[in-house]
Amino acid sequence: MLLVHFLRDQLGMTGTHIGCDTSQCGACTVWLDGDAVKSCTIFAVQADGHKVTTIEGLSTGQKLHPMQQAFHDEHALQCGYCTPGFIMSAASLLKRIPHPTDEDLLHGLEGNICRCTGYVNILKAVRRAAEIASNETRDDEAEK
Amino acid sequence: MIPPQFEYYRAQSVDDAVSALRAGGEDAKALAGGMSLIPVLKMRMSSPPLLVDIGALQSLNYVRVDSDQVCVGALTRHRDLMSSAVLRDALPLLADTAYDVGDAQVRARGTIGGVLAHADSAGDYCMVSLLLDAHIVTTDRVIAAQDFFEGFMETCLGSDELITEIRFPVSRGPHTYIKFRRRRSDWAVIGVGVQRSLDDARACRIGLTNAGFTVSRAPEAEEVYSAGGTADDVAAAAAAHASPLADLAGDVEYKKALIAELTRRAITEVGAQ
Repeated sequence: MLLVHFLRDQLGMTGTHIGCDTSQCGACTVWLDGDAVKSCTIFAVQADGHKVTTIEGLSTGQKLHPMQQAFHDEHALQCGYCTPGFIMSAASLLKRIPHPTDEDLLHGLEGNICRCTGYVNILKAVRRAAEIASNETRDDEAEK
Repeated sequence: MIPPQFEYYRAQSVDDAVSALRAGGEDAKALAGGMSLIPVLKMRMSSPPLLVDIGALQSLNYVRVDSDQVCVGALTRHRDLMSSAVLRDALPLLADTAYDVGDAQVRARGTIGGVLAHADSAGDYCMVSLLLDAHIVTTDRVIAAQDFFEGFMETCLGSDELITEIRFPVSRGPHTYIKFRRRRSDWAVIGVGVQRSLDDARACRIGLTNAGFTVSRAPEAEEVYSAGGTADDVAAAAAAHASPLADLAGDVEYKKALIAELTRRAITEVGAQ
């Protein structure tokens, strides 16, 4: 059984989407031990003993994750189908590269496809999330 | 798509994996990163009765340089390769190649050994290993890259033989790898890799990705280069002697035109480095 089927059909966590049959679209992206991976291209049994984070696990109570907030603020979705995968990929990217260049963004997000072609606002949102995160870091440091 | 049923075993060591494969019979398969094998299973192009998962064997994830060779553990992932400072210094062509394999999710999981064992003609590392006369170390022997790839997705690996390491010569000369793709994360429709010697400006290797049943070298084009031919001459020789296959991406004439154009660009780029 693929991890995505385990998440959706066994656990009822349908925030992770299936957008293709060929491991190309990235809609099913989740984190495995913090790394963005395609849950349609990993068997559930391979995740045994590892930490899986889905879109349902990003927010803290009612407070959205900065990437979710940025997608909301920048209207970075049209039909919304690719959104969970994009948010998981983009948030993972910013963990590794907090201040990405345009090349970093294109290189890091090439595994996610938006069939509405809403890429301009998606990229805006990821840049916005990077700003929010670095402002929060600055605020945290100021408090200290 | 739903993969066929199979038994699953997570190996604890390389020896454990070999014993499990041996016990599983000749259709048993090793599962490394799974970035090629799992899509194949999803499309039901293969239905091995047993998968032996070697992906967690961290002892096979390393990049080491000893004197004149770069030794890469078979389970080193694309992302580890692209971000390895050691590799960037000793074999930048391989680090650049890793940077442009698949997409970020694939680079987080896929391994160099998996790419070689899958032996797709579009496999970027297959071309680089052939280009540089790499040696492929397995649990049984050491195989020269030119003997490794036998045909369409076919290698000389036995059913209970695992790749453990790939040995490349340290190569710091001018180099490039240019892929033509419809989308950035796609396999190359055609790819051309060039590695020039650091010491000898007329010694240059040229490798082709997805230009036939297996990856290939372009020895005639290399000769034209060493005889002082222009980039256009080298490009013409590469295209004339290649045997690309027609597929949904284009017919043979189109593929040959791509081989010529990408070779011309690659030779020009290397000349300018």
